[in-house]
Amino acid sequence: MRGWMFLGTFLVGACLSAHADPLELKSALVFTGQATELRRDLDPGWLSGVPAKQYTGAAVIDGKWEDLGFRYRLDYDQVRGSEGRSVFNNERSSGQLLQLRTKFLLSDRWALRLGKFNENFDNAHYAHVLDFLKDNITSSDTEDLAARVRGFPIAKLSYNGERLGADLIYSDDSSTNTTYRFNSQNPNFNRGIRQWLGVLRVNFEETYVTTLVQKPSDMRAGFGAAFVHTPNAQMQLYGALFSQRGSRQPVLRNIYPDGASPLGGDDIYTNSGSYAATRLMEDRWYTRGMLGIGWTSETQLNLRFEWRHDQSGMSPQDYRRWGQIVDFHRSLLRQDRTAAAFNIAWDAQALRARQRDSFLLRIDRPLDNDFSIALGALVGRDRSVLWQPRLRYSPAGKRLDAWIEFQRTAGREGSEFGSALARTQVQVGLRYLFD
Amino acid sequence: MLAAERPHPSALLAQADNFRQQDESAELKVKLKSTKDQKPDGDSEMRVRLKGADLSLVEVLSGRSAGQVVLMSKEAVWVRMPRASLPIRITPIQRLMGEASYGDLGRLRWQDDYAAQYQVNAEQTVNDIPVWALSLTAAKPTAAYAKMDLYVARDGGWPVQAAFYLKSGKLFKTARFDKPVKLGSRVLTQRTVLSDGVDSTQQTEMIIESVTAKDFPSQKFTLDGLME
Repeated sequence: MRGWMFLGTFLVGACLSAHADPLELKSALVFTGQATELRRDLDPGWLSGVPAKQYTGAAVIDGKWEDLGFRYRLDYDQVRGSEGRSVFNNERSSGQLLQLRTKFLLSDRWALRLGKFNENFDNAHYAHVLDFLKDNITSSDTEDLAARVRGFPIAKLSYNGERLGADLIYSDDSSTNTTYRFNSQNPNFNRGIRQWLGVLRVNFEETYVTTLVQKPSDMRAGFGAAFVHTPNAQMQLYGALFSQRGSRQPVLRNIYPDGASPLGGDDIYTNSGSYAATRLMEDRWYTRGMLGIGWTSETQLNLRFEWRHDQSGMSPQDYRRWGQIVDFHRSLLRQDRTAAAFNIAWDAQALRARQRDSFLLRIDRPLDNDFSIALGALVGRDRSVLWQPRLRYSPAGKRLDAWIEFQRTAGREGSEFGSALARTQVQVGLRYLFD
Repeated sequence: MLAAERPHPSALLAQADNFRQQDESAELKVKLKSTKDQKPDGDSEMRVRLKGADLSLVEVLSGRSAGQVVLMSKEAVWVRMPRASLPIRITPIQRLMGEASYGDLGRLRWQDDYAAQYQVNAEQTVNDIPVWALSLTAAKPTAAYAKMDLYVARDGGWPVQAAFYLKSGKLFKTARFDKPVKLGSRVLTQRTVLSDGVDSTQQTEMIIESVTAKDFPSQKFTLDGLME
């Protein structure tokens, strides 16, 4: 509702202006169908709420009027899943203002930008170490074919010089409800907070360096840097680092390094005895980093390799403890099936940060003017793998765009991806762009 | 002719560049026509905005890549795909359409990216036009081509023909430049024919339809500018 009012105000303004350029509107229809097969031993009570099937139809409207641009999404969603008592078959329709952007040029070098949009501070394909203004810091959906990316409310003052640039950014997303819950796509991560960012960008010919400081409203300030180096026309080397006291990722108390610490007011409880601890105001410094390389062959084969390290993830020792906790909760299934199942499902989801290291290898190549193929492999330290092949049909000059993407987790029992909740996922997508 | 009578290679290169980009900051309307085996294989129109030696913004207005916007700066090439909410960074060699690379549109001044010297056989004739034969090597790692052979008319200094090579030494494409014509108040090469290095039946004509000297704020050539 608030989105409609926001959009309506701008559109009325657009119509009232006597000297304005006409409002340009473009629309698209997007359909996605997704089927997921879960590892039942990690959710024996069918509690996770991850839908077995999900169908979404959406109309997306992109508008532009002078210096104002927006994207609005109206969608209908149907999810089906589970069995027995926990069967669900829900339908939902909603409208949401995804993006809104306007600028005020203060001079040739200075600009103020206001609206609801996203910012990108590193060059990662998967491990977005510095993406404080995106939903997820480990996402490889860079193309956003399904038009789902939601902006953050942002005010950004920018200076852009020959070699030097600087941004001062304030974002207030505190109105977004981010209660930690099962099956949340982004449990309490970047959303729902206010944050300040100071960014300095320096260009050294073939190397581009970004340094920044971020102060979220619920944590202490953190410091980061990123670089991109282009040694030749075919290659890019890039990396990023961020360090902060405390971590936004909660952890199961039983494997917490300081397990004996008293419970805090922000600790997250389940209603059956298992609980996670917040690390937001912890004194310990946590660092996360990423190194990557991208290479394009003369035949247009693109290769990308990324290594991600996150100290707030689990160490091998933590991971063994996690396995023991899951085994313990499993052993309780015969005594109190409901409580045990609840705990196991919680264990499986509470640890999305997983282990500290992961590696991404991605290959993509256009097959001809219409087809392209991509294969991604996200590998854990224990050599378990998340495979992601994708075939895309995007006929040149046409309005149709279709894709099919598989995700399959594989690995020995107890390994990172071998114990991921989702075993297989298939997504089929179709979008039609109206001009 | 004695070597002393030859113009300095870099001066000759600057002279050739002058028939491609005269203004420090300008907006160009460019049309691309592709043919394969002499049959039409797609048209495309673009708006190219240039600022200084390094910054360009290419907006594809029609054709198979309509809606794409490309930002080229000294160290990066960014593409915004149609209706995308975030830009994608690509390597400079990545080709997104036909025989024309974005570098052919967005980097019109060779003198900024290449070092020139005369070929051993510096005086040649191309299509009955006496030319100076130059060999260009990339002076910046990010230059789209590792090496170029450029043939510049001895009478007038306009570019006549070029061959573009990749790092492996492979011939990537060739270009034929029409004799410059008056376009508004400028004399410019209006039509360039790019041919595939292996299959010369694949060709793309690049026609500059208009050039307007125009100053753009620096903010336009940023990632924010790309998204607006």
